[in-house]
Amino acid sequence: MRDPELHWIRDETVQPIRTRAIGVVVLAVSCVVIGIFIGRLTVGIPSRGSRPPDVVKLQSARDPIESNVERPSLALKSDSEPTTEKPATSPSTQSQAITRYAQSQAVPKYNPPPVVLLNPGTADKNPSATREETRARAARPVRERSLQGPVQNNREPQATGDRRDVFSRPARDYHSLREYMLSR
Amino acid sequence: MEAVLQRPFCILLICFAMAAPAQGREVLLGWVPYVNERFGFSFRYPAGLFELERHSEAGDGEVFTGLQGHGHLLVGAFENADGHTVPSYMNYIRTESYSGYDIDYAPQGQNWFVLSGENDQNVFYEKVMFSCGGRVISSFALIYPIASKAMFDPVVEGIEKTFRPGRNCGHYARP
Repeated sequence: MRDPELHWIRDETVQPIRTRAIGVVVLAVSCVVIGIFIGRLTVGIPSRGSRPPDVVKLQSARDPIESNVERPSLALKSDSEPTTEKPATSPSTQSQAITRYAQSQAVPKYNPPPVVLLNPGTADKNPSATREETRARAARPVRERSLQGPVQNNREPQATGDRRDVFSRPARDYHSLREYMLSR
Repeated sequence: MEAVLQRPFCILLICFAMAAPAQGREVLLGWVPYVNERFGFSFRYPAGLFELERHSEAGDGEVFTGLQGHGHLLVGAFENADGHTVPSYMNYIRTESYSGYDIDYAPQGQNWFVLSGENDQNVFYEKVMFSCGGRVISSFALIYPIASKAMFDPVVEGIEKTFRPGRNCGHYARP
């Protein structure tokens, strides 16, 4: 039961300071939180009038074709040069042989792209052309490169059902795309 | 006075705290913007879920496919050379594209419509928007397995919310 004569009296000396401090703290925390969330929200927003770069980045990051751009030249070099596994300076001991065997078992062997096997000397005969091609590839938009990747890796599609084959043959227009999608 | 000001701040904080999980989901799926260079239509899609499968030489559309081969997303636009209206084009794609589906959702507005339905295997959802005075038709369509509805329904919702036809009509503008 409340005492009717008991009244809360505001302490004029303490109350303003405490409430002001709480207000400042709440304001500061709010500003920080708002700043963080606005930052997170605006991370993916592209600049006006340009194609969103993060679309391209995400796709190219996941696309193994992109990471294989330089592989043909490396593979060609490996054909003309000795393998990276250098011969031992001293006669091979049994432990080295075991180690080498273990490494060959542990590391998956790299299968060079078919173009390397079919035309082993092409790039070495005209290295400047290869460099030009690489430069031209770099100048093209990343998306376009990802779409044309299989063509660069292999002049002939490996299988008709392969998705890379699909990449290499774009549809004529939207209606063709629509037919293609609905037929799947 | 401060007490009066504190309450809105607290409400703001709670709102942001509640918004955080939604933002986290978006980050997880990697929602990214897409803008078509030719027609200017745009939307956001989960790049963590879809990858580009095929594009058109004319630059008017693209097909994305789900990472595990489940689900396909078609986006595109074209000039309305046949002079379709909203009802006529709705009937056209209903019969031409989705005759094998039971349509169970078909709202329409002045310059847009949605068709959605399912057959025994797949669900489809297509939204079509007329822009530039009816000269350009932009649309997106998603087809995905019924078994993956839980995964794709939020994706449909996200794309539907962000899909916008191009603003710059250029030579498609009605004289």
